[in-house]
Parts: sequence; structure tokens; C-alpha cells
Amino acid sequence: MEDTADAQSTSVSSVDSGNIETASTASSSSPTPPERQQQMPPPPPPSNTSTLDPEKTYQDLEAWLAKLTVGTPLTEQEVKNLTSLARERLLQESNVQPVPAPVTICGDIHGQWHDLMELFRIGGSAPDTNYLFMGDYVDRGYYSVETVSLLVCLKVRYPDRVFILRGNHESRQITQVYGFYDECVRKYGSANVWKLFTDLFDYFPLTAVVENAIFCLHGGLSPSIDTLDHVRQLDRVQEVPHEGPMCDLLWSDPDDRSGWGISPRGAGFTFGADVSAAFNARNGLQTVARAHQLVMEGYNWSHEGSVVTIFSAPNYCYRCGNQAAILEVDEMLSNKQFLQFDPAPRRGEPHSANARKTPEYFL
Amino acid sequence: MDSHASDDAIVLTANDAWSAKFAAVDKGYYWDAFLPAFATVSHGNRQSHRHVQPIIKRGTHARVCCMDRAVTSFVELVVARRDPHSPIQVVVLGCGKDTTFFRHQEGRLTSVGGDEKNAAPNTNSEAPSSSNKVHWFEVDHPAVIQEKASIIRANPSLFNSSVEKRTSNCHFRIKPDIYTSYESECTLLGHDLRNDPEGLMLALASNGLRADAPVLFLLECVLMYLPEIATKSLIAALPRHFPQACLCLYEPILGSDPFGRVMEQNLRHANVAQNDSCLVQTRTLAQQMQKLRSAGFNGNVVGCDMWAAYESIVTATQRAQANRSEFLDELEEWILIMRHYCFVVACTNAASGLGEQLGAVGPQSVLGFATGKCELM
Repeated sequence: MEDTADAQSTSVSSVDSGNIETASTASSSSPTPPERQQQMPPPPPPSNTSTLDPEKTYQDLEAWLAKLTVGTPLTEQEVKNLTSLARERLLQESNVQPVPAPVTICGDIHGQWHDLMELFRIGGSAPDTNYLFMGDYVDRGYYSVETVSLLVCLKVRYPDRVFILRGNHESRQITQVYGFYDECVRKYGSANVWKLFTDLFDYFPLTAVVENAIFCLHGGLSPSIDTLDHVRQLDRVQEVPHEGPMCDLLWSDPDDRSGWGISPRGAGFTFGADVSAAFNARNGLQTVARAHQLVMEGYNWSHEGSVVTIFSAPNYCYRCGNQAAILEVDEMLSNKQFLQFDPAPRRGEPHSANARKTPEYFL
Repeated sequence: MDSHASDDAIVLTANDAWSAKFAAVDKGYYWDAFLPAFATVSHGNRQSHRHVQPIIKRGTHARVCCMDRAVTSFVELVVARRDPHSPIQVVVLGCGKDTTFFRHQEGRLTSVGGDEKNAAPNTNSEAPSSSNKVHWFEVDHPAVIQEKASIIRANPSLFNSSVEKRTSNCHFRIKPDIYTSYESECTLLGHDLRNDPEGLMLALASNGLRADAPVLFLLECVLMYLPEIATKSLIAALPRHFPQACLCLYEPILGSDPFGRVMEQNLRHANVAQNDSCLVQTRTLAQQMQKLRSAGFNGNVVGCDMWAAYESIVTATQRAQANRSEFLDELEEWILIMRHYCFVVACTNAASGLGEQLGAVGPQSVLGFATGKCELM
């Protein structure tokens, strides 16, 4: 199956620019000057909660990143240390985490680690490019462990340059159905790593707002939420509930029908263009940027520009044939560039059990 | 046929269908007490524990609902003719591990209230929807037929049936035990569907399949693996030998979109398809329907993709059962994969009125084909 991906992507392997829709991509990989980050509202982490030696922490993080950027999973002890550091950091972030521009906004990744590497190749490596990921790091793909470990590690290493939100798959219940639980047990011999990560997911921010203009979240709006202050008041440190505002933010979808509708997913709601327009106006926002839905071009504008969907897992589940996209927002918010990409070439991948697994069809 | 896709890989697809059905039944989508017996020894543990995605379970349930509805409707239409000389004849081509005959015996096809009874334990054999005798035939590769017969023989209390070996070692007759009060019989015939359709037709006839009565042929993910040319010969033989043939087909339609292209790559890679395969050659609903028309199904030919079928042929009760059984997150992918399979019913004019009823569209459609959601030829 991986071979299939190989075959598919060889045609695009020459590609750094050929595959990208927009012409002006050169700037995306240029480093952002550090001073730009000083606008960041969150204060530096208080050190009173940690007995860790900062120098040791730095060395650990660098060592973990070195492993994770070549696809080597961390050990269970390393995951324990990483998630402990991450919890401290994420606890300080808001339910509506302010994010400065410029930033590159990304949608679902779903354990497609190789394609995440392709994303960094297309969008620029962190921290040279600032990133905001809108959830769904785990499940479905074969490399959820590697993917979520890397993103969490980047978050802790570059807390002011990498932002990670919670998706509906960052949940104990969903990961037991869609693969992350099984993958953890397979790779670590127990559910301990799954427990460490799913406990950490409770701390992930639910939403972010880029320069008070682009409201970013995984799913969509909620009939229980009129303002960003409503979101700020939620007690987010818990498993994703089956209903209510926190659930809706991670599960809802925009729809062609106006008003609120019952979601065919069985959680969250559908919301119409009237709802999005009113929400944006009430909160002084330009746009709602969200992920959650597979869109064949990798991005899709809806609701007359009030909502944009971004999906960053190419050939989703090794079956859907879709392109992926990420959204580059420049520092003035004046320019929004979508960069599209196809599945990553797979080089020298070990011949694992997964390599011969065909995605499921009705046979 | 060595040059074609791997025989072993194709035979093993029966296990994929079995795994998907097993997982769906296990989750409570529908009832089938017979499936577990068909876990093969070599794959048994792996299969039953293999993780099956929710969309695959949901789509498998939809497939079973559509095929069951076709069987139930056909049986009811034939019964309604009140012709004592007209037997009810069903032929499953490429049957694999299909259990429809036994579920029908129990009166528990999904289309006759099986879904309502889903959660209930299997009470003593309930009255079937009709007391008419069904002449049921199943055809598959000789190795598949032999395995199926031996499994039924090894589980007499489950199947309530005896197995008689007939003229050759790939020809069996399944006789339900007398106390079940059913008279239906199932004939198992070993035949490689790629070859000699004439021989198969003669074998069916010589085993009691009557040419002067209606026959419902069922084809579920069978043609896709065969060479295109073999599928044409096979389906053309049906109405030629059995003028009152009706055919019900569930097959993939790749189309030419990205999902279909990746599906083709993946199935080629799995060694079950290559250039001359029907899967690759017959790519759209219209092509599937035209092929049946050209093969001699000159009455109603009606079909839709499975996404449309899910909203029309699968009933609201059955959809509610699916929603109760399992939560679905993969909405967009679900719609995509369902749009790449089709459900088609084809009839001949000689099926005297049956074709018009089975192939009807709109409120009077017994199968639920809805105006605007299907194609009628």
C-alpha cells in the first residue's frame, strides 16, 4: 500500500514548486525575525512548577526532535517527560489562544507522518515558519504516535511559534475506534503512551484567533456560543463531551442550509452562512478557519468567504485521492496563500506489515 | 488464466467480505448467526479480530439491505402471482461465504424485519415470510464450494440442514431438516465463472433450475474480478437460457475521479485487478447498465450509486439501526466510497410483468428506487 503511495507520488517528487498552486512561495521558508514574536501576549512560563533544569530540558527536546524528525518514536519514558512538559505549557494557553501573524494554518494530519514532513518541506520548517495546527493529529494513518509526538515536541520547544489546537480525534473515546489506541499498544506493548497522550489532549486549547481577525478551530460554531468570551469561559480540561459548546466547537460543520441543523455525524451541529456572518460581525472577525472535513482540493471557501475549510492530509487514509493544503497568512493579514500538496514520496521505508496492507473497500 | 489477477488473491476477497459482514453483525447492524461458522481456520483469528472501519461496516450493512430487499421483493412478487406451478428460483453467482439462503430460511433477511429483531436472541425458528418452496442455487469456484459444503456439514445444529454430495465433488445439495417445515433446498455448484458459461447454464438446468419460470440472479462484487470479456459472456448466457431472468448487481464503479483512480491503484496493487478486468473496463453506472442491456436484459434496467441507494432503497428503519449500532465520523469519505459502488436491477420483457414491478421507479417501486435518485433504461 505504501508502494501505491510511492507510485502515486513519484510523479510529483520533482516538485517543490510545481505542485504548489501559488507562485509566490519563496518567502514562506524565510525565517521570521525574532522580534516579531514579542507581540505575543502569553508571558513566559513560570518556573515554579518545574524542578527540571532548563538546560537539561533544552537538550532533551533537541534530542527528541532529532529522533522524531526522522520518524523514530520516543520511548515511553520520553513520552512521559514530554507530555509533562507540554501539560505545563498548554495549561497557560487560553481557550481562545491569541496567535500572531505571520502564521501558516494547517488542518487534519491524521497520523500521516510522511505527509507532515512534506508539509514542512512545502511550508517551511518550524520554527522558520510559524504554525497553527487545528487538530486531528492522530487516528486513521499508520503513524499517529510519530505525528503527535513530533507536533507536541515542536510545541514545547517553540511555544511562541507553534500552536496546536484540539480536534475531535484528540479524545479517549474516538481514538479507541479509529486507530491511535491500537497503534500505541502495537508500538509500545501497552496502553500507557495512549493514556499519557489522551490525558494531555485535555489541555489542548479549543480555538485560536490570529491577530483578532481569523478565528481558528477544528470543527465549527455552536448555538451555545455567541462570542469569543463564551469560549474563554469554558472549562476545557476534560474529555470531549458528547454534547454542548465544547463538543460543538470540535464537531460542527458549515452547511448550505441557513440556521442551525442536526449534524449527520451525530455530534455538533451544521450552521449556515447567516450564522457565520453574524458570528464574524459580532466578534469583529474576518473569517472562521476550520478543518474537520475532507475537501478534495485541500481547501474550500464557503459561506461567501465567512468560512474556510483546510485539510492537510493528502490522499486521506491512503484512499481518497485528495490534495492537501495549508494556508499562509502574512503579517498584515492582507495576503492569504493556499499551498497545495500531494502525498510524500516514501523513500527506503522498512517493509512493515503496513506496507502490504490495502485500504479497505467492499470486496 | 495465469495472466490474470491472482486467483488466490481473488478467492481471498471472499474473506474480506466475510470480515466486513462479521464486524457489522458483531456491532449490531444486522442479524446473522451463520457467519461465524465460515471463519476459515487459516484466517480465523486474524479475521475476527481485524479492525474494520466504521464506514466499511456501514456500507456492508447497506449492501446487505439492498440485496436482501431484492430477494424479498422477488419472492413476494412471484408468490403474488398465485401460480402453483411457478417455483421461486434464486441463483447466487460467486456466492463465496454468503449466508442469504440460511437467513432467508429463518425469515430474518434485513428486509423482513430482521433489523427490528436485531438485538433479540435468535428465538426458535420463526415462520418465514412465505411458505413457498425456494429453489436456491449457489455457484462459485470449486474450492470455495467444497469448503462451504464442509462447513455446513460440520455444523448440523447451526444450519439445521443436511448436506448431500451429488454427482461430483464440487456439487452438493443442502436440505434443511424436516422439522423446520421448510421445503426449500440449496444446490451448491462448483464452477469457475471465467470459463464456459454455457456449461454452467446446462448444469443449472440439469439440477432443476427451470427456464419456464422467473429466476433472480444475484451478483455481488463478482464481475469486478473477472476479465471483461468473460463477464459479457456470462451475463449474456443468463437471459438466453432463462428467458425470465432478473438480475441484481452490486459492483464498484471507479469513474475517473481521484478517489476512483486511487481505488484502481490500490486494487491492482492488491493483485485483484488488471487492465482487462471488468473493474477497470466497466467504470460507470451507465456502462454497467448498458452492458446488461446489451447482454439481453431487454426489460427495465434501473440502477443507482450506493449513496443514492442508502437514501432510498435502504429504509429509514435500517438507517436508524446503523446509527444506533455505531457512530460515524468519516462522513465525507463515506459519501465518496458509496458513490463508487452501484446497485442495479435488470429484467427481461419475458419476465411477464415481474420486470416492470421489480424495475419500477417512484412511489410504486417495490425496491425503493426513487425518482431523481436513480437511472432508468
